[in-house]
Amino acid sequence: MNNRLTCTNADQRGMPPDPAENFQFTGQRFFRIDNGRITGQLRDVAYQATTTDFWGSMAAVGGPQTYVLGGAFNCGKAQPGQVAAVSHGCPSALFKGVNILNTTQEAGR
Amino acid sequence: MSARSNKPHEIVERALELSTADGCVVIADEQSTANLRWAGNALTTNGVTRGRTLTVVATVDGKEGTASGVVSRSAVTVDELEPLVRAAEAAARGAGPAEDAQPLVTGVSPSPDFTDAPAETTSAVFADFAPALGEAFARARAGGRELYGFANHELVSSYVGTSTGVRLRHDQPNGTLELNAKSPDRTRSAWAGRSTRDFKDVDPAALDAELAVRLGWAQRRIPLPAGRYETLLPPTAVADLLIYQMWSASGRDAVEGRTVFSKPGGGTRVGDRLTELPLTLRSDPNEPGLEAAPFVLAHSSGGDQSVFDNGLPLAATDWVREGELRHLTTTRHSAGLTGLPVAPAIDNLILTGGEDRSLDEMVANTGRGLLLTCLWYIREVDPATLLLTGLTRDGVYLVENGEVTGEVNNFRFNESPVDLLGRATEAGRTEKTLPREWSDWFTRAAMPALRVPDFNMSSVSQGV
Repeated sequence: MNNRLTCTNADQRGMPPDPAENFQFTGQRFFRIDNGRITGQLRDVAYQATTTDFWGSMAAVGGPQTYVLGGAFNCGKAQPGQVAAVSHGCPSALFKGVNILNTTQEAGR
Repeated sequence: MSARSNKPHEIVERALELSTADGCVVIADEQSTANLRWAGNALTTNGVTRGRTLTVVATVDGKEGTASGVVSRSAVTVDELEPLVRAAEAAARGAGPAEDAQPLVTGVSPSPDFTDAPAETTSAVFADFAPALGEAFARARAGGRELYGFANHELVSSYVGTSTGVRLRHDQPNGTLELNAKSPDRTRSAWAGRSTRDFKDVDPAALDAELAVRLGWAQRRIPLPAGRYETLLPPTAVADLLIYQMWSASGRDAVEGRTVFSKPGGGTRVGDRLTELPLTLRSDPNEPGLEAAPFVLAHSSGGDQSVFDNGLPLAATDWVREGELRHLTTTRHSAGLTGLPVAPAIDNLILTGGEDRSLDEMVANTGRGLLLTCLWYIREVDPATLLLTGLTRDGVYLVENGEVTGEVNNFRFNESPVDLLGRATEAGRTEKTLPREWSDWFTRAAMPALRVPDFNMSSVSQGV
């Protein structure tokens, strides 16, 4: 497959509680890759999958030089609610056959 | 330490006396809570908590403007006040001019109960509710249902004093009940929630009966694909969507071109018609049953609130009046910046103007459509359209020829509340509701159900 997307900084602030549930992340920055070269930035991109299917589609994992520590200050859980800072480090990874949405079309425009 | 020296109003007065800054605001929040938790038709835990948070805002005038510093600490006693006040003053001196600086509020009549002891809740708030819940457990057990849930009651007495003479106090009760019923194999689940000031208006037997009907509907499963469906959004779902709209209604952000309420080319959409239905979206600190603080209580500046506005009286505000956008939220500072009127956020939200029809009557008038229970995990996709995404949860039902004929799978939706107001073809009777998704932050809402002819169910979700 020649058409690939690279996403830096997906933004959804957390995941649904059920591991088998559907998730959607909006990409803050998406780029198109054609034949090994980044050929442009894309707008209005989100991706959607079921968690287990998504991780099953992982085809490659980047080396240590791609590792980035991300996190949030406001991971909230429980009743009554509790909030804690969390961190979560990841290398870059390649996923195949991911369902990509156009958020403008999703908004009916 | 005597009990007397820890009275909230005396702590406020003492902190103000200690201030050496040009201005000072002190907020003492005295919080008490009581909760019950249950699972599998049995109580599992109960708890009570007590807490105090003291917030000191110091303002320091300088050549380039007025700076502000804010420090909040929990469990503060009189002996610990001076370091707190000094920390706020140091923060102000180190901060540089505050963009939102305004003269502190003056000329507000003091609350007559400012020197009275704080209000407090205890487990006694559940005196009638807990036995009734026990009876609901017995009925659920006999009917093959398992009840799970959580009830929480909170009372916060907030005392606000300023160096300009403001002495205000507000007592905010805040009760929430969430009840889930599940089939013993956990494949069927239904939810009901209530917002209450005192648990006297909550009837576990009625809620259990409602959930029993829904678990019955779920015995027939009807898988449906993603798509646009005529959908009945119950009041809790409408509340969750419109609360997010309210949070996104900053006048300043709109003027700066950053929100759904920005006018293309500049300015705001105030004056635009959002819906052909005669719907009014409003907040009112004196709304019966949904009473909220009648003055600004701002523990920090940011977004559409300013610590300089503490104590500013709040008046009933129409955000949307009979379908037309009328107000966006502002502070005194952002009102001056944008030319919009001063309209601070208020801690309740009411949508009226629908027809006098219950949700059951709206179901009876539906040819084919979906009936939702509630929305879950709502997050923003695009601020320019206020596109939100989230999941349905605890029951999506298919309505055919005026009757529920079975339970459908869950969906992920992508919708903007502003667009939904524009496309809704019917609103029902307004009723008090618990906004499930935002109930940790916002519980005082009254909403009608809405009928949307083409709600965007973007994909199927496997969750329960």
